[in-house]
Amino acid sequence: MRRSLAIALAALLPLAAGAQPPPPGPPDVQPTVEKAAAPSESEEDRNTQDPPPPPERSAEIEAGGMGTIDHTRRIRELWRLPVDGWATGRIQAPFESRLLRGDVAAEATTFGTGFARLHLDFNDGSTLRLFFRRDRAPYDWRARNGTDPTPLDPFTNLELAHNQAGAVWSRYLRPLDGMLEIGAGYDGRTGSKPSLTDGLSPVTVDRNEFGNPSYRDLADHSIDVYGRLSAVVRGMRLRLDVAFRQDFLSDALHQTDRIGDVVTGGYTEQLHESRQTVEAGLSVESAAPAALLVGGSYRFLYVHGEPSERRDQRLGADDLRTRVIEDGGLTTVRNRIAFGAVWLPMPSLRFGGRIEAESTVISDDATENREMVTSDVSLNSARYDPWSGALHLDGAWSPLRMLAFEADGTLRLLAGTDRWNQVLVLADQTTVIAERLRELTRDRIAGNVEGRVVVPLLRRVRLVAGYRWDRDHWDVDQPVLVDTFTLGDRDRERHTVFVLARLRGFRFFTLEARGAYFNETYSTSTGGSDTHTGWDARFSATATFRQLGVYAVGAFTDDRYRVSPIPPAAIIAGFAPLDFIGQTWLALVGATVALPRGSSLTANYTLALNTEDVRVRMQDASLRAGIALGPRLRLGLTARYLWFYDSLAPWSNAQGILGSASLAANF
Amino acid sequence: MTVRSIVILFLALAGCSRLGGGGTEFLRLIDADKHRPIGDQHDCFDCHLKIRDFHEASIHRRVMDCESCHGPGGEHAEDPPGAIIGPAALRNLSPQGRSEMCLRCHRNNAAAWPATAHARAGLACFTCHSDAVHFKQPEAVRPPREFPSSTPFCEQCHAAAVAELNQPYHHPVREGEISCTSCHDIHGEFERATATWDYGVCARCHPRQTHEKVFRHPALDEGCGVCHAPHGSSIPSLLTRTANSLCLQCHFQPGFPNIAGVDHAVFLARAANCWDCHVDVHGSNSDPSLLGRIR
Repeated sequence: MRRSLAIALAALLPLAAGAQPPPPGPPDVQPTVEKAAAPSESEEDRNTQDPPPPPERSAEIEAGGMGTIDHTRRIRELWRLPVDGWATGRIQAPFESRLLRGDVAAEATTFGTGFARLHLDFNDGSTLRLFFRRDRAPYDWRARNGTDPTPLDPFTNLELAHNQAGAVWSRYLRPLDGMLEIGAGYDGRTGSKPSLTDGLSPVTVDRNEFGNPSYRDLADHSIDVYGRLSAVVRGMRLRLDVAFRQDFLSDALHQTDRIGDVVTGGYTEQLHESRQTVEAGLSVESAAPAALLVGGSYRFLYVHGEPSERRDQRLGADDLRTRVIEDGGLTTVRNRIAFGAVWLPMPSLRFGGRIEAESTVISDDATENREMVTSDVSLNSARYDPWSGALHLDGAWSPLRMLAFEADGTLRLLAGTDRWNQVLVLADQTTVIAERLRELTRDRIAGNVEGRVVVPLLRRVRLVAGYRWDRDHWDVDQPVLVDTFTLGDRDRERHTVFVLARLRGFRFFTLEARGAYFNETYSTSTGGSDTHTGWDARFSATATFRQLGVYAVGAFTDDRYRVSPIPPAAIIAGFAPLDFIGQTWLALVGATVALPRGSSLTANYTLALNTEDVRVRMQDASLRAGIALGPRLRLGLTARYLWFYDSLAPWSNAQGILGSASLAANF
Repeated sequence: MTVRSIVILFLALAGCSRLGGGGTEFLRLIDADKHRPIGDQHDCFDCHLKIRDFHEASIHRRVMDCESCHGPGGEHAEDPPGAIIGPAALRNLSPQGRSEMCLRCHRNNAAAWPATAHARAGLACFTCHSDAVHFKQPEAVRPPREFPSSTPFCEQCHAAAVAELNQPYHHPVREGEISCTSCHDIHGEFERATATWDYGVCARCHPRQTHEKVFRHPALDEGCGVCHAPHGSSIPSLLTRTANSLCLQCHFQPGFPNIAGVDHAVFLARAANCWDCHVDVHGSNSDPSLLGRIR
């Protein structure tokens, strides 16, 4: 062993001495730009070029239309286009004066979406950024059977509007060599969307017959204010973050049951809640001594939910229940601490590591009153997660210019206890009729190691081959278990091999292929042993021939889950094991050709197939043309075609055609 | 393997660190102690007239002069060419040495840069900020968020990644709304290398998904890329796999489709996606199973 060490040291020391001068970097990425920037022209030539022209402003108007065949709502959802015809205006205007320089960009559509950005750089080193964005997302109705769901109300528009706005001011602090940043933001979603759980669970089956879609009215607002200070002091970089966030949520589920055209019942459930969150963090990073980077951070989270009320009421002939849940407010306190380091003893050798620990305490106090058959229910619950931790390690060694070894490793530890105590009382709120206690203790150890060998051949071929090992182990203890079943202690182990090859040919073509295969075994103390195997392959090619650029992307994933026969002792009535196969195919080809006078033409075609038996097939083709009408005027034409096919919901199959024309001017 | 051997190996590596680290290649080249500075009697721009305009228009003029990079120029001014570090000598430096020239002032990037993939691949500051000092391309030295059209620039090396932006669902890079540098901090995020802080660049535009939650989806600890293909995908929401194949990568377990005591076979038979019920896929403030409050 000592001899091996001596050999290793003998190999390392000359390399260290050889760091003077260091070897040129490995040909990982060809610095083609640098080659372009290292011209044959003389230094005098390099300095005789004129200063750049002032930045140009641009304005663009666009008009477009959409046509659909079959299910229009599906195309609207896929393209996020709530209207058939629209117009768009865009403007971008950089500006500069003696006091500041800035840039404003905006886009507005006739259907009420768009964005606006303003960026100002002041001469005193401060920056101001303002932004606003609005999107509209139309939704299709959902149904779990093969027939077209009849909307409850044909005039009900299922659509969410997403609004974002914010302002950030920052300033460079010269004495601290750092930045002060203060910001505020708003993020809100309002509108209606389909309820995705229609007809899925036993809970909803009893109130929602298939084919009767329900929808939700949603108003979800979040406002946050934050401050961030970073500074460099004696070689250490400090960062302090403080943030406060206020959330408001209003959520209402609407359901009407019908048989044919006859309404047989209805259902409404409403929720209102308010939540405050405080986050604070401090991180310290140091680059001293040289070649050693160390850092650490501490983060604090406090979340408190105001008491909320959830009320559901059933209408019509089946008026069975009214339920009110008064949430007493869920409070969470979380502390997280992390330390990390990266060490580069030589340019060709790197070690890194990070360790994290986290503690979370959650308290919950809720009361649920049900006016159902016989009683009200009072429910009290509590949850407590003591701590979790993780250790990450990574390293890379490039002993030769033609060969490098890289390795990553992670070890995660998690220990936690979940405890729920539920008490059922009668309507008088004093007579206890039942008490349920559920306590679950979990200790989990998870680890993975990944090794890679990188072989850059002849500066134009890069080969990477690797192996990854993952393992999870759970020790599960449920001393009090009432209403769930347990799998007991569990182990999961996964082996993955992967390869990546990249070939660059004389700056006009690139080929890249990567593939991975893994095998995963999941076993339990009750005798179950299931397997999951998967393939993941991806290929891409790009090439440039004079004015023509072509590209192609192909991808395939295959996941196969095989469930072993359940031992008789573990069989639970009503449960049936199921094998599952998921597949994804993707083929994309495209080309761009640069035409004279700055014009261009781009074409794309995509074919995607998802899951076995071709559950979803999508074909997408587009053609874009940019035609220079003059030195400052440009015409843009876009055509797009989409064909969507779902074998399990044929009523939603649809085709869409989109066309638009734009005129852009620089001035 | 003894403790002594480990200590020896550690010390040897530490020695290597002192020899190889420290960033001295550029300082050795300019060798300031052996040459005289230009002094007050000469001005570089007496001869290099055409550089003056560029220099005057730059942000660098306030904080540095020609000798900051070209070394003491007294002998060069008196008897050209004399002893001066010309562009050819600077270009002959290793990529690390060339970067040292800039990182002496740009200290914010000094710590993180050596650990970045770009640095390890042998790229230097000038690889992208070409001719930054002489200001032929003033836009090239602006901060990354202002980098006006980085995509064609990055495409020269990362053509495959840019091709993926043509998939049906993609970030609006092709539309010009964002660019590569909107997400990729090519100078390196120190926090990413040392201590987990937040979900990084995704949080800038997707705060709702990345805000800290009481019950967060543990997959977020692995990064958003575990589920989302950031450049493009044929699946809505830029997912890497279709619906349930995505979730089962981690949530497959013996007895499947029995999960936590609930028979999920009925849901799968009705073509349900996992998130039809587990609405809060990024984390919930109320339910450890990430189920919606209303169900």
